[in-house]
Amino acid sequence: MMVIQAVLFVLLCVAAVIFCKYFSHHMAGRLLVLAIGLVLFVFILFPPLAHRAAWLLGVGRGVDLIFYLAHAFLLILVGMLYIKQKKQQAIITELIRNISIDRAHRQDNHRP
Amino acid sequence: MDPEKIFIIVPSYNEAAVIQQTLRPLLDCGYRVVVVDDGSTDNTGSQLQCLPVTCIQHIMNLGQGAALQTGMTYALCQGAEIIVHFDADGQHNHRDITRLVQPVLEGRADVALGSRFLNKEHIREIPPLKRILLRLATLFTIIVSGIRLTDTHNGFRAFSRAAAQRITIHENGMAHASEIIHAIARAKLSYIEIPVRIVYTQYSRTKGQSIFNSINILFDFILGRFLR
Repeated sequence: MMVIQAVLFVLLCVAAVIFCKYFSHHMAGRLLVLAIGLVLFVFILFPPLAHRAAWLLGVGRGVDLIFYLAHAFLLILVGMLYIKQKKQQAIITELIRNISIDRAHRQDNHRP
Repeated sequence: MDPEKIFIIVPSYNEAAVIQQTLRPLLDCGYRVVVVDDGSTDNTGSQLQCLPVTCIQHIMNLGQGAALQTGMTYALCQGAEIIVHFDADGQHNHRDITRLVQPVLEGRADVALGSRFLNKEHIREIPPLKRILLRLATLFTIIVSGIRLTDTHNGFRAFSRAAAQRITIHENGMAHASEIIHAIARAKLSYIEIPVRIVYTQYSRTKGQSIFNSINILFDFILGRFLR
């Protein structure tokens, strides 16, 4: 095994652990990460396979295929994070709204 | 109708410089004024203390859409019969409220929407670039919501109680304007456009939306529709 393969393998393992922890309540997300991790693992260990897969898909070089897949993965990730952020924003908004209206009601009650 | 049953919702963010002069004419008319201080960092809050208005304070800045929804929720709890959206920066004319509210009071419409494009004089007062942007926004809303309006991004609106109960603003930012129109279409509410004059002062122009922000608004609205 070459040094770069060892480094990539370690990085892949670390990333997989982080993502699985992040998607701890999200089975679809975990499965997606697992599938991508497995593909990358195979490509790291057997680089000619990436080239072969790219040739079969008509992409050109193996590195191009990995580049496109990485883009697709990042887009999905950004989308998932956006949805999560929107949901949290909605919860925070509701909380702040309830607190502020409750305070206003209390002020109304104390008015002469 | 008792003007006390007409609630004027004024979302406000860092408007200390003009808030008192915006609110005083509304109070003189006897309306119930609800100011939603959307996490202002200037002294907007202290400017409100000497006025007989209800001040609802967001502990952090959420956006105009969120502030309007907070005001509407509060007003409905307080028994409002008519709810009016009114800008804090002094762009809206308090004299237009009577004309805006009239069709809702008479039951001719559930919602009355202010428009800058129904009167030639009013159109001429709109800065040219803003005019183009507003026309494009209107075209976009017609395509998306199927509602034919002349001015979809006018913040001057009046709702009957029943209409306000059927509209919930989810968009915290400025995309709420398109969302409200879409909600009117979805809830099959009757609506009418009323000509209103918008006063473009140096202050309101500085505080207004930039062209680049209109792209954000567009994205927020489209993504909001697909993700909700």
